[in-house]
Amino acid sequence: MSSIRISRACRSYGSVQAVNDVTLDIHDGEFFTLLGPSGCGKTTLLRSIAGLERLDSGRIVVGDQDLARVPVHRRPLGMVFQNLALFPHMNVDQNVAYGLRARGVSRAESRARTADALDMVALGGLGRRQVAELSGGQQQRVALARALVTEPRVLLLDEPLSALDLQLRQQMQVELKRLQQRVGTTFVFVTHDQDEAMAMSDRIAVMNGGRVEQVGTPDELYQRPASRFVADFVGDSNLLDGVADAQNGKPTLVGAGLSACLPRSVPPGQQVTLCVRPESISVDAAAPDHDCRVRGLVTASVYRGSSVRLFVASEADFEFLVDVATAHGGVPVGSTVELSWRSRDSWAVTENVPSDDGMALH
Amino acid sequence: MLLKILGRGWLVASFGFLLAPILVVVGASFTSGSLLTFPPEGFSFRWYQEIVGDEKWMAGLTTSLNLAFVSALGSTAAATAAALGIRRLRRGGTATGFLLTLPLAVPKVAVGLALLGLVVAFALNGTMSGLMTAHLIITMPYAFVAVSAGVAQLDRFQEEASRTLGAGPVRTFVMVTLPQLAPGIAAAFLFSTIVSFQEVSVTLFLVGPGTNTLPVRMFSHILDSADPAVASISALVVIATYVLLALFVVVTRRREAAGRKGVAL
Ligand SMILES: Nc1ncnc2c1ncn2[C@@H]1O[C@H](COP(=O)(O)OP(=O)(O)OP(=O)(O)O)[C@@H](O)[C@H]1O
Ligand SMILES: [Mg+2]
Repeated sequence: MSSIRISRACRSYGSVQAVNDVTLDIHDGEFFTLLGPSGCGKTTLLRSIAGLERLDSGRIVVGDQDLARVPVHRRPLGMVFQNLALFPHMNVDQNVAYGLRARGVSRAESRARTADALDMVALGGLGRRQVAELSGGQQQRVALARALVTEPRVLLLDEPLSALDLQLRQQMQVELKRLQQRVGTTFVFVTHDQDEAMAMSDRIAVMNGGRVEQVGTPDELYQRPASRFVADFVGDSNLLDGVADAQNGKPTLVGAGLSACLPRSVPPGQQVTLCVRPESISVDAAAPDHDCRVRGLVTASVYRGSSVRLFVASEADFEFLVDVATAHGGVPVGSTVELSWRSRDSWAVTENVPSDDGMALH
Repeated sequence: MLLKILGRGWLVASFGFLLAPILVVVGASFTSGSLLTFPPEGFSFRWYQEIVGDEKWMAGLTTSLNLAFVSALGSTAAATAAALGIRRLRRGGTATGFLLTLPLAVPKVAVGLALLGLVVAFALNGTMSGLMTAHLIITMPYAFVAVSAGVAQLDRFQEEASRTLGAGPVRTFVMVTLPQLAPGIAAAFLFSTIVSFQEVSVTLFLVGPGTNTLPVRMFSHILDSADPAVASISALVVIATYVLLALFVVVTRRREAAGRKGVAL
């Protein structure tokens, strides 16, 4: 069952189309992420759901309630703000109880529910503290407890972790994900960090310039990007741009100074981008079914723990990113190597053409 | 080193310059003689006893306190409404705010004349209502500047958070906006009170026999008498004002310190 349905949402500021014809279906109990670069309209869309921003056109339905005429404070939603927006003149208990009291819950009941909510975020016993007396991570949890204690149908989160340092941030990612699974509330999470999105989400909508480019599970986005933008934004990849052709009866890409097998047939003459992930490429270890091969010069090598990232320049000066297992042994910088991969491990993107036959090949 | 000494010297000189008149007045108020002189002749509380026992001064004080309280209440409320209203304007906010502070630039005598015309037109000359209206108008720009500074620092996200938590506009205003604005509102009230309490030049045009304020009485007193009563009153006013200001500064500092820690992540 769907929790939020957004259809044909549009919002512009002057000449800027902040949200451009967005249609989304967010399921019940799902951790759903809006991912995209700065300025792509994530915040505008999220605030529109909350009612803090008005759409020029389009509909937002939560459950079976059209939100068009519902004021912010009557929407069945909670929100966690990027700067948390805790109330500095109230202590932790008062902050958390605020939404309960505003919704007319009795003093006694709200006291009990506040205590439960603080326990849930591992802040039990800190209710009497002033907000100012908490660490960044603790303040984060107060904001979560405050938003969740009223049991909203959907929780909206606008980059709530971006103010934290890396270590705390990764710890909070795990906590947030666990919390969501435990309470089962639908989360709509905004971030511009693709690692964060991949780590936490059930499904992700990748946004670009106000539009949704693709909606899918992290795996779908990574393995089968629908556009060059998604391929580029989600994970590292080698993107070979060229024109489709047929050589020896096989679909081939010609461009980037080489010709490479395409994993599916594309009408000859059409613009196509081949996406090859760094870990799909082998170095000097071509197997018989590796039907794509390129020679290149290793220009740099970066140690990354379990793998080594090689930068390999082809003869036509295309720079490949290649990840080889550290166990595979070092490849000296300056050596010439043969890169190879299976065309079925790559992915062809033809802009604006949903590639159904391509998916079938996978 | 030399620069540092020069700097210190400059600082001390500046403070001396600012404080000297006050010291002269306070010093002169303790004279045991019957003329306003500095240095004072001897030391006594004679003139303090004199003013406390004098019906004329006590009546003036009551009038001034009433006037200051009511007009400060009015101008603070009006200034708060104006500052919050301007915050909601899409455009023209800065210009409107500037317009509201413009009366500060008009010579007091001109304001007095203008208000006299107004007050006479409504047959309020010499009445307390006329004075209150006038003082409300005079103190409004000061209150507005103080509240605006507070409004500029309001955190919009807190108000939005309140709304997403189920609080309607009224509850949000009372529970979230007003508490944040409290220091600005207190400052507005304080400054309005002080300005109204000390105002002479405009008030001179508007007082009647029953509504003589303390400063106006002081002003007319020194026109035909050279006794130090005025110095004792001034000394008391100075001390009362400073105590109020000091209290205000201490309280807001404490709040601010707490607020800053709250913002830091
Ligand atoms: N109040 C506003 N007035 C004018 N333009 C705005 C306003 N709010 C947003 N925009 C514009 O709309 C576009 C989308 O903004 P939005 O804040 O939704 O982006 P975002 O994806 O949240 O970016 P970020 O990751 O930087 O937070 C941007 O080009 C922005 O400049
Ligand atoms: Mg944003």
